[in-house]
Amino acid sequence: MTALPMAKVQAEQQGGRSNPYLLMPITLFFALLAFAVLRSPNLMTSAGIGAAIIVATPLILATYALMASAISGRGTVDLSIGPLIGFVNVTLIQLQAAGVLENPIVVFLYAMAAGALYQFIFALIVIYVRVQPIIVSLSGYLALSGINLVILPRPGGMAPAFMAEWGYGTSIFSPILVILLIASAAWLLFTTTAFYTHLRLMGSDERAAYTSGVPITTVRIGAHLISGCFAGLAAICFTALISSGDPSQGTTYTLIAVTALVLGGASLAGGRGGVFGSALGAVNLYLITFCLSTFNFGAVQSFVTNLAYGTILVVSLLLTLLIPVIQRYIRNFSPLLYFVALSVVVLGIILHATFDYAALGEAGQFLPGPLQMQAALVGPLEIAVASAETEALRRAAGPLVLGAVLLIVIAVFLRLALGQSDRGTIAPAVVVVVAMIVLAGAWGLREGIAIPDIEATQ
Amino acid sequence: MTAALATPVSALRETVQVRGIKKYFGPTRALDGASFSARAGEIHAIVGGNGCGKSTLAKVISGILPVDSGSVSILGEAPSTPAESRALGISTVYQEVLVADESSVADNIFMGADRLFTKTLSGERKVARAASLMAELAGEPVDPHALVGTLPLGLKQWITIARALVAEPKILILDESSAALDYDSTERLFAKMRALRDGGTTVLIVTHRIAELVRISDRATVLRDGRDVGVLDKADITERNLLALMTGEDRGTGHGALSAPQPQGADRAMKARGLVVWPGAKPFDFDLRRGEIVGVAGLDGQGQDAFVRVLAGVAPAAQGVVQVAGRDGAWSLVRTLREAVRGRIAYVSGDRKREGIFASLSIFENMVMPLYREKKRAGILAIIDTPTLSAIFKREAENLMIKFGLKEDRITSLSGGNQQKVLIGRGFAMRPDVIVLNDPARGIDVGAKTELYKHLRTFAEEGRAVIYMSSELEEFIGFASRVVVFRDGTPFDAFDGRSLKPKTVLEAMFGQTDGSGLTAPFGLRPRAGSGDARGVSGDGVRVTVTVPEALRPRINTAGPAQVPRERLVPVADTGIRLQPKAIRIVEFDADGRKTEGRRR
Amino acid sequence: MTPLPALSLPAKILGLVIGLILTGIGAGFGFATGASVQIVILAAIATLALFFWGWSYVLGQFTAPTLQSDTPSPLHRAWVAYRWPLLGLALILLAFIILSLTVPGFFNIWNVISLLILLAILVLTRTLGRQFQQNRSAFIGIMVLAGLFSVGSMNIEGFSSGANIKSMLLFAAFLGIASIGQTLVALLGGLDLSIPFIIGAANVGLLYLISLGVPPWLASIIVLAIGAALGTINGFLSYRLQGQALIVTLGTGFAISGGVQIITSIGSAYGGNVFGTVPPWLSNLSAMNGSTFGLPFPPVIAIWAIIAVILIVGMRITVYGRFLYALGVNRTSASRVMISEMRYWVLMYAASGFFAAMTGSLLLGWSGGGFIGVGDQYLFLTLAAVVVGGTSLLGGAGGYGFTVIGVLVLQVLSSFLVGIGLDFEWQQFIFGLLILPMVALYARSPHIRTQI
Repeated sequence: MTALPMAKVQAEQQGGRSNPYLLMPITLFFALLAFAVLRSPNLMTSAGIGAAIIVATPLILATYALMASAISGRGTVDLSIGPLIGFVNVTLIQLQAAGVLENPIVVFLYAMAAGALYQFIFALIVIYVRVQPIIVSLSGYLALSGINLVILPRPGGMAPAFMAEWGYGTSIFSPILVILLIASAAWLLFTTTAFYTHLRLMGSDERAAYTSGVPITTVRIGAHLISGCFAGLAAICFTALISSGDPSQGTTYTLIAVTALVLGGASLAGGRGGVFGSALGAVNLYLITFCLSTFNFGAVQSFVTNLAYGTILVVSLLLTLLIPVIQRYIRNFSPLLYFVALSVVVLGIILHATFDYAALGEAGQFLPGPLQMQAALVGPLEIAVASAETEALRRAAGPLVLGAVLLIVIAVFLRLALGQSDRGTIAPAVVVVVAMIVLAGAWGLREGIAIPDIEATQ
Repeated sequence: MTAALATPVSALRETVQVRGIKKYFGPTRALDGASFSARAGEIHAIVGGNGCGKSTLAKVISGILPVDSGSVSILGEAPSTPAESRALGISTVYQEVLVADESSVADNIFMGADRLFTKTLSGERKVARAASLMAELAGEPVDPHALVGTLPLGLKQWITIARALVAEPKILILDESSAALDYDSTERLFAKMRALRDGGTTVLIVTHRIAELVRISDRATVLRDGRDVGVLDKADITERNLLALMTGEDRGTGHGALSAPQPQGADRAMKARGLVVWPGAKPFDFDLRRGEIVGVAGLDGQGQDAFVRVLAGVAPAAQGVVQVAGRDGAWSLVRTLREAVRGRIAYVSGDRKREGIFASLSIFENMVMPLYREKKRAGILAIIDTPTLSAIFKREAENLMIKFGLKEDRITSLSGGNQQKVLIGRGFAMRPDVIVLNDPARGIDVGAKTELYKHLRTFAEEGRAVIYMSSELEEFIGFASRVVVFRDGTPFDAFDGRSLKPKTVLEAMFGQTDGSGLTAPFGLRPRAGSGDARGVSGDGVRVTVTVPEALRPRINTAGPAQVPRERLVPVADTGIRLQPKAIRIVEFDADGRKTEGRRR
Repeated sequence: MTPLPALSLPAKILGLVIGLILTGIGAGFGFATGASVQIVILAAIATLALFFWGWSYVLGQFTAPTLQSDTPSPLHRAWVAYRWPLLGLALILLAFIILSLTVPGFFNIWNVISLLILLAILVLTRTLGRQFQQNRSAFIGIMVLAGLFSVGSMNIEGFSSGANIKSMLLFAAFLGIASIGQTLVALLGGLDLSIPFIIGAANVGLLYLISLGVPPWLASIIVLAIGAALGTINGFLSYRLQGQALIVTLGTGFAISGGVQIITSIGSAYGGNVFGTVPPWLSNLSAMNGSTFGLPFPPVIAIWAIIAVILIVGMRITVYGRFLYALGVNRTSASRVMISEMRYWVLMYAASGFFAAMTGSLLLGWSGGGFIGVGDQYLFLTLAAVVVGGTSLLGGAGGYGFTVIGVLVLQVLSSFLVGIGLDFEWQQFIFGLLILPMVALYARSPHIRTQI
């Protein structure tokens, strides 16, 4: 491999290795997260995160479902995803009322099978009848939203008993989180298979894939089946969220999920998309809602949310016009590294927001008076006489800060080291960094339990 | 690695056998009873004119198109999908560059190589293999992780070729695959093809570049009108045999006998000063006189295409000004399409699918669309003046002898040649002073071409001017008043149309002439005083071209160019007569390889 | 009288099969009603003969006598050529028989005639539809419309009454005006999903302006102008973000609907709802009991008809219309003829916004109260009308005339479904299932094989 140094030089000239499309969702995510935490530190409590997971998961899974079929190309934007979720929801409720679906395993199997079956028919129509997917999905939207109302004319019913407590969202570790993690992990596992490569290539250029011998019919059906399974899971989480049946609310997921998909940087033309971006897109939407809910808009709350959704969607689309420009300057953009870097910054902000400054005791003593330059500059940096609690907190925070600094150092070091090699991947570095963040987070969580306690006692 | 080694006895096994296949697309007969066979260990060319069915045949062999009737046996099977044919060991490189832009080079090269769920090679090994293969093929290292969408077209073409090669095919089909490759690359491709051939692979090439196939192929099958009309062995593959078979007998006597129109005076229709078509190219001046037809030639991508686009206002010039003379003799600038149209310049593109026809509109509308704005009634309501336009349509349709059913029929109901005529009619309907044609004869038959030449000649004789860019040199003979050859984005040489020799034009295209024609009376600025030529004369244009000695064309020693053009030559066992046609020919040696085996 | 033109064998066989089926039904019906055997037999023979003659005569007008070539077996060819209509026939007959056996009283004269009409439509769309290559969708649409209408008027009490037709036309007018923009934009190859949001926003906004004391005529003009302005923004954005029109318009739609509600809710205790008095002339425009210059139908129908005629004629004979098509078919070619792409995108989206605002204002006259969700059903209905009518979403083919047919088909179907006692949700279900086969009849994409 003597050509390696030269290959590097060539790479510089010939263009980028990766798309900076994740730049937008990541930036938006951290901006929103920082804002949300500053506005309402409650988000960072166990209950806050738990509620966030419960509410966001159906949307995340719906976005996954959209993504799986959108990657397959031909402009497959499955508008019927919302009604499909609604369909699984209402049939689940009715079947449960009839006493058919009791066992959790059967419920899961039913939901995923129903979703997959619908998507299977969808795929067959797209492949053999050769109608544009958008028309098929439009047709499915009308048909399913009609039949949903027939099955369950008005909201009501009871979710299966085993789901009863899922929707409380009082702690982070709920079954919903497990579903979300398993679904994400399943997709990530799937991306390592050859099937995923086929899918991506087919979405990017179907004719190239066909002529190269990729079995496009099978691959397309597979993509839709995966999408159907995700839709089934989304329906289960949705059912858990509302603990009942609702024929029309599921329908609203269509527009939101499409928005989330686009915010997540996926290409509606096909070939590009992943769980990371999709999850971020969906979480971003949740965070927008959350941020806006911290303001008291009263009766116009939902309108402001709509306005914000629309504006952010359009602005983020306009920003994608900048991507080729960015691509010219940043050739090897690493989304994960960017994510890690920003997460360190936001971690600091979170610490600041949730840090109980009041507990420091002396900090509040600053009295209005003639402005002293020295005090104004140095004041924020000084920490008052430590009480026992502060000491404990500082002990808790110290390793976190240390860890963050360490992470930055390690990340930068690894980036530089690996940038020189021709491996073309920084996966090991990212794995190390992410593992450390997870460890640090777990440790911080254990220690951090003290923080809400202090808040509670105040 | 000589040809003698390449044909061991075991390699005479027939790998491809198709018998009497027919393939219709609606009313069009793409293949009408064609037969074809190829052996292992040979490079077999499939040649023919435009629309003779050669690409269709390639698609049938590669399993994309099912046949309507006839028998297909490829390695004993009849694959019906590309996946099946890949499993059989057939790889195809298509005319169009088919790559997935959003994916990496390595993924693109190994597209289709994996099984449905499991990979045949680990990721690292794929990357390493892709890197080494691309370095070998493209002649330069290519980052295997780079996104294909960010690479230039030539490299994309190499990726499709590499994709075909990694499958280690028993049959390799190359359908016009050298179109996006430059000269060096073509040589490397040929070297690779010979290596594969020597390894016992059947290599099928589909091409219209006769010079290339004469050099590379061991056998050639000629198709005409969907039928095979002859198979030539290595010794018989010459331009004249091929052309004789391809064109068939008594096809149009050509226009070679006619003389090119000559301008009446020095009255100029257009002038360009200090024109730079590409950033970095040399500036030049150009004059166009009334009553002449200027041919523009050059190898693909040498700036001639950009030049005609700049003249027509379709593309902006990098630098310099283009001016057109009005009917009152005043000069006006041409910077945009709008100004060009105001200056009565019409532009006709040969790429009719992309920038020509409106597929779902009628023949009538396709022709008179540009006149709508001018010939409207009722002011702001802008109602189309159908009677006037119908008269114009009738006139142009008759002049060009367009064959059509009703003028309300869709343009897609016409054949390619007639569609092109409609577009040319669109140009004429605007009543231009200057008409710029960008390879308009692409894909139209000989009869239609003759009509077109006749029409353009009349047009020029009426005192207007024609700029005609073509990729086929024969078109200029007896038709162009002068020919300007482009190289590296700037004129390289010019020739007088009355004594045009394709051989020298070809030499100029390869940079083998001294460029003295540029300042001659038939040069860039005909009859202009030598005093005011700026920068064009002298060493400004006469660049020294460095072509490696091994690649230097040996035109002077090549036989076919010395064949008298007007003589009919009988060809073995076909009874077909050679049509008087000039031949575009370059005879090369391979890049430094032994050539004894291929020399005749 | 000229001899009957010769038919191809498959056509003959198909005719014979259909004739026999008809005869069988007739005979069964005759026996069921207790007619005498002789009459039944005579009638059966007469039916068969008449039908077969008519079949040959009608078909002969359209099919040129084709030369028989030596291909497999004629029966096989007939099957290949006519398998879908034959399958359809079998399905309909099966459904009919099952219904007759299960539902008491289903087997009556009107239902049998409806069945025959359905069969005739199926056969005609398949056989004659081929003759109208370019306007096949319009032909199919008209056939379906005629069939639905005749079946409806026979089976449903009051279906063809003046009041029902008036109400159908009224709702069709709303949908039709809302679909104008969608059609124009689809001709360019775009989509406008902001239509329902603009409808809702106009509906609320107009009432809000009126309640503020703005003269109603001025308020209407302001609302229409704002609609057009919003459309213009949509046009610019969609033009910049080529190929993402779906998402862009969705985003602007969200923003518009949110923004208008915020404005109207300021200082109001009831978020999202606006109360005010709708001026009588606006009510008259679109209420069921409205009158047009003394004639007893709401003026909105006339408005729609006038706009439709202007658009259909205008698209054919004006330069603007033809340039719009040219741009939709091939934008590179269009730029060579100096058609400004940007101008047409902006203009068409502006028109879309304008007509959406108009629909919203008219709906205010119909309902008498502002409601932001009034346009929601138009989100997909406008698309459905465009698609069912036969305008290609890829641009350059179709037209408003097609959309009018699409709108009428949807409206008559909806009315028909209401007539036979199905609710809104069933209607929607059937709409959904119907779009697919209608589109599949004329808008299938080519196989990937042919695209290489």
